[in-house]
Amino acid sequence: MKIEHFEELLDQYGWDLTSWPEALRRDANILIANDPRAAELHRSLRAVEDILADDPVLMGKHKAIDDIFDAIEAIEASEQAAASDTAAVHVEEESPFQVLDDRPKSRRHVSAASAAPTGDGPARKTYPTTVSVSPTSSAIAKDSTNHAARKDGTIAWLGGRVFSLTGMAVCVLAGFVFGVTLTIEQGHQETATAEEAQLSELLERHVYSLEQLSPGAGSDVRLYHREADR
Amino acid sequence: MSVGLREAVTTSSGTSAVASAKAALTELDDNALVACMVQGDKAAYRVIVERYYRGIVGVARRMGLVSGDAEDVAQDVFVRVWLHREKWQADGGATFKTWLYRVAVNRVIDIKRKPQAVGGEELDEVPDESMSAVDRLAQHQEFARLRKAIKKLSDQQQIAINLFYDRELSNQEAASIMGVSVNAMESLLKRARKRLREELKSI
Repeated sequence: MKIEHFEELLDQYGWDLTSWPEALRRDANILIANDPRAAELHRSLRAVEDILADDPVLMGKHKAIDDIFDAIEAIEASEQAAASDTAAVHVEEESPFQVLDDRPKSRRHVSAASAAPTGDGPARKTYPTTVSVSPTSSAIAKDSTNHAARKDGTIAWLGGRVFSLTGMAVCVLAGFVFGVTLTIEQGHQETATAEEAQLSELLERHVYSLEQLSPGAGSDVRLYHREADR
Repeated sequence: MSVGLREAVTTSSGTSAVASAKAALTELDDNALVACMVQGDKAAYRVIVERYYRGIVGVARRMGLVSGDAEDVAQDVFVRVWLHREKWQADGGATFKTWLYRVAVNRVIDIKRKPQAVGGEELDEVPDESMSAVDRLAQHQEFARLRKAIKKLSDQQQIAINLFYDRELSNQEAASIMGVSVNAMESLLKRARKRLREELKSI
């Protein structure tokens, strides 16, 4: 075995010859025994690896593990406080309209349960106590009634929207039909008025021409008399 | 029995119950403890933290952080793991231990990439009372020389060297933490050793 090959094998398998392949181990031992450069390479790598393996680690500051759990408690407390604040803000936004709006709301029971009974404003407690919370995510409520309430609310909202849209469309259509009918009617009236005007003008002209055809004028006496009899 | 004595007996029995419960938890393996942790059992998680805190701090230190930063990384890692404990999947192919170390290694890499990362030369040595002052000085110099050489390796080589020589990790675990095969890990180690040898010659 040459020194270059030994060097490569040292890099590959480390200083501990027992971890080397059996076939190479014997040659490596012979080389270390006979070649001072190989022995020095082996010794220096062993020293480095010993230092790396023996590099002691400080246990850290006193109560370091307690600090970890204190940090966890603090984060969880702040998350809970933030969630409570968010829910309280929603209740406060809703409460001024409760006096004015007596229509049934799909989620009214939630706010009613958490509102302060004295009328001094909404209480801080915002979640119904019967709601169970997912162990993996505190944001997910598993309560079936709450789901049902949400579903009902969604359906009511969707229904209201759909009905309002349909109603609006019907109104627009009715207005259009009314407008068209009115226009047609108005057109008929104008046509009738115009025909009547033409007729009266024709009659006036006819009477005027009869006056011109008076007896003195030597015209159709019979027509004149007939008109005079009327 | 007086009231005071009764209270003392009650308190001592409560304390012993807590101690025995903790002892029972300590006997559990990682899988059982992690299952409890996922359910939100902080006592079980404390046992996990006590089991791996030293190893995580050690990896962070070996990767070039000073002791204060290494402890901060350990705290950060354990807090994150608790807050995201539902993301752990037992059938994900890795053990909890390798997952934990991987989170720690990634966190150290993030910190080292930041401009305020502290250089390896500021690493603090550990006083060993069993050694003489001369030996301690020599050891400190050797540590400093070695750390200087390691710092010149690539990131991957540094991680491979640090994980491979961590006594608490097997080769398979070290490879799993790095997300490579054992063969790839050995190849990385080979290049790292060669480079380290060359750097040590020049220092």
